[in-house]
Amino acid sequence: MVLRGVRQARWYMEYRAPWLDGEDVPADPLGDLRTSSNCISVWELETDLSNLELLITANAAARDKPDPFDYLIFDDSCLGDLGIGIAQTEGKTPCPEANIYHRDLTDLTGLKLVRLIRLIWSQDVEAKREGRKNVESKLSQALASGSIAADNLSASMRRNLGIE
Amino acid sequence: MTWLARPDAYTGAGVETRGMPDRDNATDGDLELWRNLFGQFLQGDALTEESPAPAPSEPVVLTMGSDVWFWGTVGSDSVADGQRHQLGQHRVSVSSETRPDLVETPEIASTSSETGPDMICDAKALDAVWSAFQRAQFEPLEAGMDSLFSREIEQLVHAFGESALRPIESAVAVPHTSQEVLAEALITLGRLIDPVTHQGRLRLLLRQLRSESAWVRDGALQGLSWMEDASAVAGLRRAAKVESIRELRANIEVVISELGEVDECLWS
Repeated sequence: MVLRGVRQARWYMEYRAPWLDGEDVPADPLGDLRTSSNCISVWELETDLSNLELLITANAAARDKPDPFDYLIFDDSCLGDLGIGIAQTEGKTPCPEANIYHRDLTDLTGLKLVRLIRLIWSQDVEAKREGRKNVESKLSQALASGSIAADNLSASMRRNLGIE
Repeated sequence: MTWLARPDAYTGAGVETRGMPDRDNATDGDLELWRNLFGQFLQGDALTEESPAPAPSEPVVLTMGSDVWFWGTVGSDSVADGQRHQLGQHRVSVSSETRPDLVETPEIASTSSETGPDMICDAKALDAVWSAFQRAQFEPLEAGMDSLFSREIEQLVHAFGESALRPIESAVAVPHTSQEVLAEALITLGRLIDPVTHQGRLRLLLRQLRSESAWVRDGALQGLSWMEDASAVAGLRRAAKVESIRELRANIEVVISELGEVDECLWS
């Protein structure tokens, strides 16, 4: 299973609408699959999801504000069938412990992106949200425990957390 | 109170029908039209929950694709069914795609002379908000990240106070304004620390919980979460009761729970 940060509003179950033909998918989710060098960043989850909290915290810490964090979890076992590769690359969050779980989905093309959305769609997964207060609390705990160093947060995030 | 009009029912009743300008290719003339429209929306407190705004001197119906706007008072004898109706002095935004029921069966309201206080918009605030929204169309906005747009909104509210809130809220009703940009604006309004506009921003965000756009409702919700004002809880409970999107309903419950932990006296 992998985790991808998204905007929940692009994935509302409500939008899995009857106007979609056959295996078609809505276009809005494409906005959450912005590629760079034909890759998309995702995070590998342990099978028991034991690192979920860590990954949420790390991703939230990489931003400027402790806003709610929206994410999708989907099964990546079929990606090979779509011609999509997975490569282990170092994450760039302020949380080194989480960065080892970073993966790139590689060799992406326009068609593969649509297929990827279709795959996610077919798994009937729901975009989740970690609320703002929870995000703040997780970040505070991570700072207190030393798993995230304040210096590695953006100046804006430090200001927003009241530590500057 | 809501009054809805199907423009073809009022042909010949002095109602003007116009297409909205394409914002990406807006000319100076289009800009002038927008200014006029915003200006009209902003004359009178069009934004309060209970008080409809004074209608413009001439009723206006705006169309853009399937979106239909009506704003004005129609009290003539020439409406389609031959009966005299007074349409409320209120602006509405109706999408025939998303709300066919409303377009097909317009509610006809009884005569109303309610008007809001006479408030004139600040032309500078209007221009500045217009410009900020224009620029934001071209800025990639990422959740949780600083943006030029959010900084501009902050600066505008600090500079113009309540005068900046009115055009921002009016932008919500303008067809084809990016929902993502609107949501970002609402989140930013909630995030601001500005006691002078606190109540105005709170009311604005609570009103937007009833927007037709799920993006806008979500933006308003996030903004309210940031405001940490427990007086929003009643409005949030009402919103949760009518929210049709399951995920949003759950998010509202989370924010209600967050606000339950806030000292109610903080902003009173």
